[in-house]
Amino acid sequence: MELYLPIAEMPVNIFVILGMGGTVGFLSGIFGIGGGFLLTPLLIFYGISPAVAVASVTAQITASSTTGALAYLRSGNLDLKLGTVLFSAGIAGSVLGVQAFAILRSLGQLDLIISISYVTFLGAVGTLMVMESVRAIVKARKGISISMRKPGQHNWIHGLPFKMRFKKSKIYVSVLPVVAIGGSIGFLGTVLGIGGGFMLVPALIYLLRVPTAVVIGTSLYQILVTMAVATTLHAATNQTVDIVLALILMIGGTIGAQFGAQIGQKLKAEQLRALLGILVLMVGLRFAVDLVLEPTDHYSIEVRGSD
Amino acid sequence: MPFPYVPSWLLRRLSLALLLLVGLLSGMAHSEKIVADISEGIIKISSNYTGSEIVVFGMIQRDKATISRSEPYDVVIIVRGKKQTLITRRKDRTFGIWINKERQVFRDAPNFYALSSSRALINIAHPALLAKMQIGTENLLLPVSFDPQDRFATYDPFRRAALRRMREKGLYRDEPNTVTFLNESLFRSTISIPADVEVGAYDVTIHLFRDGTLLHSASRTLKVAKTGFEQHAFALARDYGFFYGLACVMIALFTGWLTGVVFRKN
Repeated sequence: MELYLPIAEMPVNIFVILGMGGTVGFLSGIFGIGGGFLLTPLLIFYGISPAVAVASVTAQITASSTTGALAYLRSGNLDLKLGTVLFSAGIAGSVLGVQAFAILRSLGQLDLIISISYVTFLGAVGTLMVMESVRAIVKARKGISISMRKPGQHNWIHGLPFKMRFKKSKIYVSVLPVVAIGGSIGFLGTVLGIGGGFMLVPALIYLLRVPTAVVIGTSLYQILVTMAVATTLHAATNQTVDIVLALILMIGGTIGAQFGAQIGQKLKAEQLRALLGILVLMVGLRFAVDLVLEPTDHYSIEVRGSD
Repeated sequence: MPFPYVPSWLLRRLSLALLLLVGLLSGMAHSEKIVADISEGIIKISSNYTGSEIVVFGMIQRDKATISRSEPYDVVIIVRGKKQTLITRRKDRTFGIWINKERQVFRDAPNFYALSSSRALINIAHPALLAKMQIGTENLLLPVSFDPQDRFATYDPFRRAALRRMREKGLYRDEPNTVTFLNESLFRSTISIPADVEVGAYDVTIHLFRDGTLLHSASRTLKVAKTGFEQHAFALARDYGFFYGLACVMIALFTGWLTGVVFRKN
């Protein structure tokens, strides 16, 4: 069934889009991630312009992170204070991100920056996740119990000034790294059309030593607010949010996520991290191949309205 | 089989025929003229829009003084969108990766160009005339003061790439031998309008040629407009981007909350 998208200005097959949203939702349900880093490239591959794909996916992430954040809030695994500091910085990052997005688009280098960023971040995060989880799996086989958090053990981040206490997360750290993390995720998320959960979760665990139980809820809360702001800014600055596209993605993603969550509960945490790491690496690799291989057509065109 | 109603296009056609008849009888015309119209003056885009087609039809009008010659008439129909700026970029390898480097800007590029002609263009008129009148996609995106001898402008790789890409998208089309003559003076052609055209006004120009000479041109306007929800959403997004964005966020929050309620266990 074909459906005409009012902002993307093209007809799409509604079942293909539902399928994409559902598949990514399924994976995000398994791994507890937003899945924007998978969804945006899929939409671009389908033929939707990168600008519309990025902006519409931010609206979809807003919806999916709302569901998640509410569930974690109900179970008490959400650090509102930490999340609020993170998203305050995230909003600032998001504002800069929309500006950068518009500038890069006019320079004709948006696709390149998106590709390079995907390669860099997906590659780095994927590698770290695979290495860490393989180590954890090996240790678990040997019967050594490990805990992610060792009280009393501090890294250099805990030496920074302007300390703040986050009761729910049971941490007492400087706001500087919190602001830096929130700001960067907001910026990158807005430019790349991703929630950034796959970067935020490891950052909170490894850099700030936030307990794993609180991490996902807090990360979803931060992503929800940042993505809501990003959606509004994209709509106001670039006029690229297609609500019809976003709505189809929301429906597909929602249904997929419910099935994914059931599978996810049956897998062990380190197995999940290893699988997610491999997935992240594969997407990064796909972008790397496109950058390095000679394109079949060296020329590309961009249409700009009459000035 | 009699129809219970008279379709509007038939009415238009009848009135056109009447008009032609009056024109013929008055005998005011000095030479050949064309009278033409399009089946639909407006294409409405709604949620199930997947492309459309228009029928261009008309008549060649001759007066008694016209000397009948053996050369056939040729009709060229061009549907042309508004001017826009087109940028072609070329990727070059830098430090092992492919990056957009050089670029060229074409300021006078129509956003849509579909040509339908009764014969191959080369048989209709001299290339210089075709170039001057921008007839045929080969003659688009040329410099303002184009000299047909200017090989550099013709074979500019950036221009060729732009034409190729626009043709691949189906936004630039040449369709020779698609204007059919029903008799020696009545002609018609069907031109398809793809799904991803922009909204706005399109010029439909009908040229009449004979023996390499342009005898007469007529033009009509075709409008492409979104209707209903599509139009409202588009207008809201363009004119009130901030509020449209807020509305999108509200919808997202509501959908997210609803999902939680629907799928919550117990």
